Amino acid sequence: MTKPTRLQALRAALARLRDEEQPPEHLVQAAIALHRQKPAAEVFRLRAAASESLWDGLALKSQSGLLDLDVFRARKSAETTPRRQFLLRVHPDHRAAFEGLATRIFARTDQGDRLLVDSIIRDGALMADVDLTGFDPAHCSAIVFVFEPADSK
Amino acid sequence: MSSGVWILVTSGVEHGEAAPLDVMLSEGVHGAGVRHVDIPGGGAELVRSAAHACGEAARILYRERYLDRQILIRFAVPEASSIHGRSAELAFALALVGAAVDMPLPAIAATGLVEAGGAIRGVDGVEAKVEAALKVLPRGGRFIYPSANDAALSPDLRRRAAEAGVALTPSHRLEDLLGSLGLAIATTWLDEPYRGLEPFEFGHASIFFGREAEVDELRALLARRTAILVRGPSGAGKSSLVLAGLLPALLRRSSQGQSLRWGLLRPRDIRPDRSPETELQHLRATLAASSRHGDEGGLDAPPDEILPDLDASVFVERIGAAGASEILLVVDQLEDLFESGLHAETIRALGDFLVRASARGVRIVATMTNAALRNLDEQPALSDLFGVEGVFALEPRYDAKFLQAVVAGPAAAANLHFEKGLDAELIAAASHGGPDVLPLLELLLTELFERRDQETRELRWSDYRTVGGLDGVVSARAETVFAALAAPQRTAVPQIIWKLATIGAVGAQDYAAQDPIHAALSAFQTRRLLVRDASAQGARRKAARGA
Repeated sequence: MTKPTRLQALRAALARLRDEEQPPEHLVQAAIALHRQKPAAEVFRLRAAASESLWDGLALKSQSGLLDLDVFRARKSAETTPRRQFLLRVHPDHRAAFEGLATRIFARTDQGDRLLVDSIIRDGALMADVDLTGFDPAHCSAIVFVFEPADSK
Repeated sequence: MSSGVWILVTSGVEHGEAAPLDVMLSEGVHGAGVRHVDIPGGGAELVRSAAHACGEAARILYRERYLDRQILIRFAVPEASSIHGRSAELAFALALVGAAVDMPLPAIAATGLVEAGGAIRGVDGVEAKVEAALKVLPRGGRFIYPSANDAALSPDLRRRAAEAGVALTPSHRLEDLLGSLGLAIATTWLDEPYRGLEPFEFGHASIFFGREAEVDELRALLARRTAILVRGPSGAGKSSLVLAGLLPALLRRSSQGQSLRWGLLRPRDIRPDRSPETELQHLRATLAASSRHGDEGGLDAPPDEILPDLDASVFVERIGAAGASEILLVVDQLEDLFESGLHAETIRALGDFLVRASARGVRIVATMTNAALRNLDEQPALSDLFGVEGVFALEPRYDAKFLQAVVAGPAAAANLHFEKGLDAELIAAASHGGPDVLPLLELLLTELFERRDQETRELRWSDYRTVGGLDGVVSARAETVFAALAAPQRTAVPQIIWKLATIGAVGAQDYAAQDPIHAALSAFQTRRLLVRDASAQGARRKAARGA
């Protein structure tokens, strides 16, 4: 590689100065778009199940390892109460990427998708009460997560 | 779901309010852990504080099997955003307990900090909080608050609480509090129940048996004298009696114990120095650190806030400001003050400090071997401090009643059993062993415990025979350690024996870091055949008593 001439070096320095003070518009837009891009779809796998009946106590981890989903049941609620608490937690190292994202959790069934949770991740976690009335978890084939910036909704 | 627990909040310290605390406890997968604590409307500081308190309560609840799944807790409290500080921690912890146990708890209003380990620390504005609690609690309700704040409650408030049928419950440990609320808190000792050749410390109160009469006598003596000296032959159990017997009794079995703060000063911890001034600084540092410990009755304040110099009045003032209405200083193994090569100035300074502190109401309890008593003749002020009546002579005991307590008490505490007749054999054998038998008996019991049947938790005859009873236990243990040593470490053993036989101790600092003697010393120490001696760094080891 030949050494740049004095003129080439000066041109390069001026260009760098210009780019740093006022970066090209297309680069700015690209960076914003990248930032607002939804995280890649996550696939969850079952990590542990605490009881024979589905949804009573479940812990799931996403394939990427970034997200944990726990399902809880109120200790003193009646056995038939179809309410559960969902807790989604983001890996501490990746909290910033998910912070403030609107999150919708769907259950995919034979009859289509059923919205379970529509909330926002705060402080690396999302907690929501979920009403499972009329829902048969045995027919659930997948849990789908959709993330998007909260202000785009 | 209402928890029946009220949080008490104050604006300043004069105006108190009670806020009802609702709680929802949800369970997830099997296992232990507080996965999440949620307080809608609460700030991050309040959530952190609640999560910490719930973590402490949950630790006990999991251990006692009230919980067996991971949990999620959601609290609801009016105007959560206006609650600041950590004084609601005790209420959060109790609300969780109420939600987790299937037993009715009384209506509770609570205030207090919950420290790691379960100690309950004092808060501000307790009088105003009692006023607020009395407005909301029904008859039969309880106002629960830190023991450190007990002195702040006026007789008038106590009378009004009694008239309202509200019990005032000072507490210093979460675990004890839950026990007093009716939860079955197991008393099973999970650690080694026998101490081998090591003395008992404060934390071993639950496995310290056989000296109940002496503890009562000491308490009675301490009620009459501000300073007492427990003397006795080496190995009689003086330190154990004071630390694991007297102190827990004072703290837990007397009304004064609620606000008693105690410190432990071991003169051997004062680092000798060529310069008298530097050595005095070491004395100050050791004194300052004496009251700062994590046990019940310890202080939270940093050492430099307790004692800037050897001024006893400042010492009393600072500890009093930290919430103590009564102060006790244990000076353990006072003989080390005279036998550690300290300057005469240092010895005199500590003696003067103890005399002045005692004059200002600090109770002094010292221990000293009979052999070192003559040293007090050279310190008349210190000698006068204890006088004649203040000296308590502790005699070694080996009567059957005492041995029965020493053998069976810790076994019961740790849920251990003896194979038929083994306990009687141990007591019979030891009762003929004379005044020095106790260390050997403790070592034998430790050996039997380590070899116990893990499933049935039984101590066995076969192990007793294998180790050779009281006569064989030391050599059996030593041989086990020796057999496990690597070849280079074995070569160091004759040096250790030679040092012990000639100068009575082995100074680890005399050997290079890579010398195999360190590993050998460590192995013998782990099996409690050697104990640390003198400096806090544990650089010197001597043969354990009886070994």
